[in-house]
Amino acid sequence: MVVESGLPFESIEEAVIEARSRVSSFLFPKSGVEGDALLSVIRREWRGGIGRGEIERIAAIDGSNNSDYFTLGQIIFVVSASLFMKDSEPVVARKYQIGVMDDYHYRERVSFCRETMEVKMALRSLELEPEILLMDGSFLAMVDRGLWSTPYGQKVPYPMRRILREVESALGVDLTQGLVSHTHLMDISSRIEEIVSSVLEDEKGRPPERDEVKRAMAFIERYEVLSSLNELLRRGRGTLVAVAKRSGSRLYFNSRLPDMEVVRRYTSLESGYLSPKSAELRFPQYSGIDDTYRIMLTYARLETATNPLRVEVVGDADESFLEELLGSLAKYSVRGYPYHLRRVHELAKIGRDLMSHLARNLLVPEVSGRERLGE
Amino acid sequence: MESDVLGRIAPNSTPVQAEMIAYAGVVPKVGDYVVIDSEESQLLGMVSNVVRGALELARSDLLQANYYDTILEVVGSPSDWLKATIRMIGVLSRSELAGLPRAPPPTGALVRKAPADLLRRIFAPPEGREGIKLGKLLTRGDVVVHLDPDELISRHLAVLAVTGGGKSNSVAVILEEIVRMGGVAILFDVHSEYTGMTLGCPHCEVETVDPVLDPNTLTVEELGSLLGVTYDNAPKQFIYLKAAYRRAKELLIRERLGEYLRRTEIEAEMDDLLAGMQAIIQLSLREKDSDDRFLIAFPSNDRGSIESLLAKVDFVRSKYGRVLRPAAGELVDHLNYGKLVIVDLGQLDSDLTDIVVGKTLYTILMRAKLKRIGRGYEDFPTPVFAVLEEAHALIPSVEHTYTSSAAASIAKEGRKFGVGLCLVSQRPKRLNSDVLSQMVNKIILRVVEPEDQAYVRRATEFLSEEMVSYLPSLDVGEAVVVGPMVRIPALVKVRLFEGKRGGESMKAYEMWREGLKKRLSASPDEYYDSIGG
Ligand SMILES: Nc1ncnc2c1ncn2[C@@H]1O[C@H](COP(=O)(O)OP(=O)(O)O)[C@@H](O)[C@H]1O
Ligand SMILES: [Mg+2]
Repeated sequence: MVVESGLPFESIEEAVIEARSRVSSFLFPKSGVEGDALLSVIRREWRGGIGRGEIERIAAIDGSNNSDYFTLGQIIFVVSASLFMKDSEPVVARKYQIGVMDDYHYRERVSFCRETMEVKMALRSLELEPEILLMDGSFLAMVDRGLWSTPYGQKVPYPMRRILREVESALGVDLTQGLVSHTHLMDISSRIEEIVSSVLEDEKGRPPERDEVKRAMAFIERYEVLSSLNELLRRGRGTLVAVAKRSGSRLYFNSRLPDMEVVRRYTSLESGYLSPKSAELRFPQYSGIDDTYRIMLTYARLETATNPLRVEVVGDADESFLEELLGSLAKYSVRGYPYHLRRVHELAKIGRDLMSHLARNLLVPEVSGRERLGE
Repeated sequence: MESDVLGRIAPNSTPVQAEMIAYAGVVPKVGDYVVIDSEESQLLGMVSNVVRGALELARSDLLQANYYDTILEVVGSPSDWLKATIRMIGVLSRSELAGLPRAPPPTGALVRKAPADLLRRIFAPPEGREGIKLGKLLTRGDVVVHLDPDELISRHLAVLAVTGGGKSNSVAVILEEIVRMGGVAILFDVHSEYTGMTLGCPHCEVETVDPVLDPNTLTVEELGSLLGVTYDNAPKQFIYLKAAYRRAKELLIRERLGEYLRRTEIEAEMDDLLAGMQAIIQLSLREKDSDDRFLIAFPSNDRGSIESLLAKVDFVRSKYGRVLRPAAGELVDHLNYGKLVIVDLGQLDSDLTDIVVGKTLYTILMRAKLKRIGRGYEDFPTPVFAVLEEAHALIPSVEHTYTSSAAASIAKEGRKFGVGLCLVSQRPKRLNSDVLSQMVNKIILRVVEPEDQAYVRRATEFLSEEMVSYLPSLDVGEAVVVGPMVRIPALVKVRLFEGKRGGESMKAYEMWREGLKKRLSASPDEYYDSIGG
């Protein structure tokens, strides 16, 4: 016997059906004014058809990361960065970084490690002199990340500048060097923690809170990404291209819908691209990096009836270069996506299964079975 | 890396089967043998399936080959991977072969190509004896496969394949080897395919005999089935048939059959039992109520039955007159050591073929039995190897024939008395399944029809699903060979019979050219016309 409570007892199907009309009017507003406006922008800016480009030396960079609780409060992470370049023979490279960190905003911090590694792999691959260096994602997004990663607002507080200076001189390395994220290396990370603690204690006249220490460390980890990126943008101008399959950016149309969705909905299914829009890449002020870069932004469909891609080119690329670039990408595209990026993604990929296999069976075999969390 | 190293065992192996991941660039062949390093011993296995892929092309959405082109252009050559299924055959301890392992091979165990000298030992003739040299391993041209004659005789043989698959050639090879050893063989040649066959060894003898049946040696049941009169389908006629048979037999013994024959117009030898029966029936009808005890008394309303029995006897005698010959002796009298007897059945219809073959098989079994238990026939040559071509016609799955009961008896008892049976067929699924499954040795060449494949698989141990799926792709003369006559299952390229055999493939073109040349040379005018002269 079940006693009625007087409170509702809903069925999920009924709730979904009830919500359906509201969901669809949100997703597909009776377009009217905005839809018409978007359509006319597209009519004006869309260039139908993509020819064949001649660029052959295309390199692609991608990375991957995965992490898992090792014990309560400790995270094990595995990060990779790969290079694939088609020369007369394919050229490949791959680097892994494996470590343990405290459970403090670990997802973002593991991403910092991956971004650093990708940027450094790109920096090192410049020596191979590719004509195009493809990166997965977006340069603009890399400097303009979520809310949490700008911990100090627009101003960098004095202690952070001091910490940064002391860390750089204590480590004695250029943070943009090598292939791994220095600030994520376990011994360096411990030293950074000591420096941070002592500077903070000195500045505040009291032992710092754990959160304050961790937050400062995350700042330094992110600083490594940004300073490496700055180096890459400076040296790689003219060859750097970022391609994204998914993006929530609204920079191009400034509509309620993401740009990508606008292109998907309002263009025909043929290949083509939007005339590029120029944007300025600025580093967040707290990083202390003042350099700015011009980015040409476009959306392109490389093959008929495939999903559009978001494409950023670093530098003042003119439309004829863009045509040549897109034509060369289209030549080597498989189902609308440049195969170089697909291949390098496969090389870098760290699957969930692989991750737990590594953690369980290879990394610390003596900490296994019941001692490990989640068993 | 050693060149004979193939790969390593993948997880989820069982004592029966395992998967192997191959080293890059290694492509194992289906049907080849491998040795797996297990914990204490080594395991012998056979590759039963091979699956291959390429990492870069393993996506379900690449539905146009153009995408493959693009990818191959970018990556150069793809990263191949290869996985093989291995069926376990047995445990090797000090290169002796024992039964299936009780534990699966360990994951990661090294898999190597089985060394040729190991395979040569396995397929060598039995210790101190000769073997039947069948051919070579399909995947190893340097390993000769021998069959064990003892196992061949005692566990029988089925040779199955589509027409043109190489059945008759395999049979010829085996017969030649058996006769060379001094063996005794009889071949029932339904389509006169083997007439003119010769064997190439000094003491080997081939005799082609016409089928004859001495009616005097037939039992009343055998006569009944020849006439189409059995206790089941015509009980009344069968009773009168039996009565006539008994009376004729007695008259024959008293040497008085001639008397009765002379009283009719029947033309026959004085000692022709069937003719005698015809005479007795005819006289019984004509001289009804006579008090001759050799005539049959019957109530008037049976007259119709007896008249039709008489008609049947008359019909069979005139139809089969050439074959039914009293005192012709029996086919089995021709059997001897080092000799092949070919019974040319090409001229006979299926009913008579059934009687001739069934009768002969029964006679062989009976004599072998009596010899064995010491009740006569000391000189009957045994063991005998009896081969039936077109076995599905003689031993069908749907109806019961005389030959099928004879074959069933041999399948059951032949082993004890030294009679081995060999069934040859291109329609396995129409072959009686009980009899087929007792042919434990099998040579399975190309089989295309799915129902035939399924049927063969059910009747054959070891034959896996995958191996069956390769049967259609076998070339002429390539065979899966299983059963105790080989120690382990094998894919064999059967050697081509070297002697002369009838029934080879039709050479239409040559025969036409030959014929035309003959015709044109017979009438030169036409020849000149044809060349525009
Ligand atoms: N092992 C073999 N090697 C080479 N050729 C063969 C072999 N077996 C058969 N053949 C060829 O195939 C033809 C048909 O073979 P046959 O044995 O008569 O087939 P089946 O009896 O199955 O109909 C033969 O004439 C012969 O030329
Ligand atoms: Mg044949």
